[in-house]
Amino acid sequence: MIKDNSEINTLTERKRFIGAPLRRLTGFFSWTAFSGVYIFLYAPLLIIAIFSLNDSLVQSLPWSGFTTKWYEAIAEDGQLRSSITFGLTISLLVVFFSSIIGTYFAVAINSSTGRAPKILLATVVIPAIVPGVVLGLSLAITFRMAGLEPGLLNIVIGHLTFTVPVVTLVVLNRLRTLDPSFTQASMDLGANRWRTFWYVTFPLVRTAILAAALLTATLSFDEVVITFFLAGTQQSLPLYIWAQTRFGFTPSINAIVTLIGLISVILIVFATRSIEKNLESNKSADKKL
Amino acid sequence: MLDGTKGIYPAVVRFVDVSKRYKDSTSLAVDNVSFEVYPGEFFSILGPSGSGKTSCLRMIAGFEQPTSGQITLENTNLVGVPPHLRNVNTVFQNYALFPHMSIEENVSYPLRMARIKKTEIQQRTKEALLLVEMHEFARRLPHQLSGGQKQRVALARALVGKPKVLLLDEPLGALDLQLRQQMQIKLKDLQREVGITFIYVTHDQGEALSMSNRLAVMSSGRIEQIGTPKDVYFRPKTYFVAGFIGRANLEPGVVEISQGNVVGRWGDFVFPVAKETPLGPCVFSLRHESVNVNGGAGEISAVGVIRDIVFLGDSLEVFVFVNGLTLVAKTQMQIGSDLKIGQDVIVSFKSADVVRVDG
Amino acid sequence: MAKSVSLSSKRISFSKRLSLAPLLFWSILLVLTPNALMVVYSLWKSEDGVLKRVMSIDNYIEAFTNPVAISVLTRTIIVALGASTLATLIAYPTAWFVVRRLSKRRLLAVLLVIVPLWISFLIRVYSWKLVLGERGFINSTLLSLGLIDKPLTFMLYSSFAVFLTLTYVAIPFCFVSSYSALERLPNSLLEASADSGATPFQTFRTVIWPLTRQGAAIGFSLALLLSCGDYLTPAMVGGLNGTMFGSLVITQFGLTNNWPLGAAMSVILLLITAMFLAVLARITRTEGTLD
Repeated sequence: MIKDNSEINTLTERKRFIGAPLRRLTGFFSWTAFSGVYIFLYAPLLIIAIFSLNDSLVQSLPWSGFTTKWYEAIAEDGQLRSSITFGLTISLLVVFFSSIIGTYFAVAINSSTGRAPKILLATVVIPAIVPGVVLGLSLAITFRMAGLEPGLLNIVIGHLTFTVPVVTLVVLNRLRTLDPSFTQASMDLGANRWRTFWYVTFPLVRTAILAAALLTATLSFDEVVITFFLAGTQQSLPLYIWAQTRFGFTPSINAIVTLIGLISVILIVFATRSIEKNLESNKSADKKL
Repeated sequence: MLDGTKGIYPAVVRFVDVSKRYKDSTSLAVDNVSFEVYPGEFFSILGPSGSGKTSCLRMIAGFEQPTSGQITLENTNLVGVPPHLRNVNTVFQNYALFPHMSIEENVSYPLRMARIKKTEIQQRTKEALLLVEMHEFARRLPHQLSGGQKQRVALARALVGKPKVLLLDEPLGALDLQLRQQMQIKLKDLQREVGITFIYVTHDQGEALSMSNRLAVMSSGRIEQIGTPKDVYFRPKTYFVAGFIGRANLEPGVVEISQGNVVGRWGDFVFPVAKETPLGPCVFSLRHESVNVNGGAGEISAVGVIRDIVFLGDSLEVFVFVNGLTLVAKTQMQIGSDLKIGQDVIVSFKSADVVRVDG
Repeated sequence: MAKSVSLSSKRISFSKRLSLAPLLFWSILLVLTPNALMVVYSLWKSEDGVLKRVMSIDNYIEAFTNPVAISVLTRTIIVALGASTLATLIAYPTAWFVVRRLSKRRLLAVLLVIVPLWISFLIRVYSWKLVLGERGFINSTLLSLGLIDKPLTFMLYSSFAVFLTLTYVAIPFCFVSSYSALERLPNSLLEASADSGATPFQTFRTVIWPLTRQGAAIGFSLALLLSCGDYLTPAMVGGLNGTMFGSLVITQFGLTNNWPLGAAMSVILLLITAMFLAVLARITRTEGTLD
């Protein structure tokens, strides 16, 4: 395909000439690689979904037939149901408390100056970045020395240690982008700090708090390692699933897992849509650059 | 009174030797400032950015505290009092309308915070909105309004609580020229109608001169001069004021005694000055429009040569080299349309229009 | 305001801020105390499941000299580093591709990467069991295609499985942080570089990489952090040959009931991760920032 080189005398011409087919080749290659990444990300999940409908006790091809019996089995599993209820209880408690505490922390930090708020923020964030086993063990030790039995209270407190930082950071980030003249105007017009927060600041950071609460809910519901350290006899859903996979293999696990995956995706889509709607009107609250 | 003018009523806002130094700053943002504002007047603080004018305003509002000195509101010391307990309201530069509240909720906010009866709140909110002609927009949200409309709502919100003083922080800065000029007239009328003391901060001298009863000119944290617009314009006391307000010729000269009279020597010009004028080197200020070419009043005159002509639309600026000085004359188009560069002209001015300022 | 407050008598000290005391309280009670107690515990001993409150560094000596512990620790570090590196190597170019080549579908592409993050971590690890197992997807496909006679056993319950799964889990994190760094790179910089005669590779080396490597590093650190201390992945897909350090800690917590030893191991783990992070922060510091 390459012409006689003596006819091509400038560097650019040569490059352009070879360039085109080469570019097309690399273009094709990069698109393939790119899509490959996405396939890699989703394939395992799809495989679970497929196998959850497979009428076979083993996860392998060939396909034994389409069935929904694994899904039906879920409804009858009492232990599964109680683990779901327990997990939801934990999550609700954790979301409730971490939203309040995290928002307070964010507002307090944002309205303070000096080094103290920076140091305190860093300290509060530590549990969110240490490895799960470390956090779990340290909390288990603490609770044992405090005489607290493993169970709901311990789990909730344990989850709070790493969810409160998340809420704090999300809300703090939003506070920092807010135009400060709103709080000033509010105080100028006669509202003290508490009323300013309630009437002016809070409505403007509501979406951030909501987003953080959502994040917290998923983090808490899905949490395995720390819960493992702090749980008593009653298991949360992930703990239940995990126990099941260690000791045996019922394909109904596939069904449960697929369901959870679907519900999560639906929730996210729903949540992001409603948050986006809120975002538009709040854009006018941003700092003018 | 502190600035030499006579006041009939006691001051509503008084600054006494107020200074402000911000954290981590070596210089004073406000340097030993004292002034008084009288009830019912439209008082402006004029100055370039960094002059300290906004800091003064924020200290009245309560968002900053003075490092030293006293600020009083009707004889009550304001130092240490938080903003929400001060009977002053601010119109912010970016309006600061609460984006999640309707116009009505925004305007009624101060009344709601004061826990006034509901019926009274409704009544007063309606009045305030009517006052700024925004009554029809009561249910709208701020982001649906234009800049000028937002500004009027911000005004209504600041006035509805009947504060003792209204503080305005460059409120017209974000509006285009036409709108700005309209709003200037409206603001002035509004202030007269409502009777509340306005303290208006701006860097735009046109605004300050056209709207104020009195104004203070600030530079680098200090007050250069306080007076009525005419005082400040025609009788600037300092070099800064002479140069900042309007356009003037500022050239060095000297005041000396000649044949028993006190005269000013400016280039080759010699003219009589007031007996009390301090002797010695100084700077003389003469407004561009006070300099005439080829006609016009003025007993001091000489022949000069035109160096440059600048077209300004409604007028011309003529740069003339005369008697050792380069003076700029501002003339109307009719008079100056046939002037050319290099031409000889007669330059004349009244000696009374020349102001001596410190160099 | 209609209120007439006698200002001179009510000299209110206007504290401009909400109290930071609750933060202090929280930090001490829930952050500092557990870690302090863990250190104390690590210095105690457990004999036959009974806690002996004597101070000694025996646990640390044990952790550093026990051949099992050492090999597991080494393996953990290697696997964690490897997985994080591979994840970054995959995620960064992908993010670059999304930023440069996609305009309409960009949001969708980003969302598609983020969605797996919301699906339970447990589920994502579990899915690899199905894929890699002896009777899992890969094996059964290869068998039925006749490409192999016996199922491949090295895939599941090995460090390879842990490595692969950790990479898989880490990719979204690396992608998100690389993407946000790459997205902020102004197009005009690239144009200026090309205009000055730089080849694409030179542009990458001198402009793109220095300004976005911090994003890649943050993703890498996140992945490293997760991988080092992870217990779930080795538990589900690691088997005996794939144990990682996190598993050892859990064993002390559960099976052998030697909490002090577990505590010592936790402290070691903590120090290692802190060290990694510090080194990384150092290496990727770039002068000047993108606005």
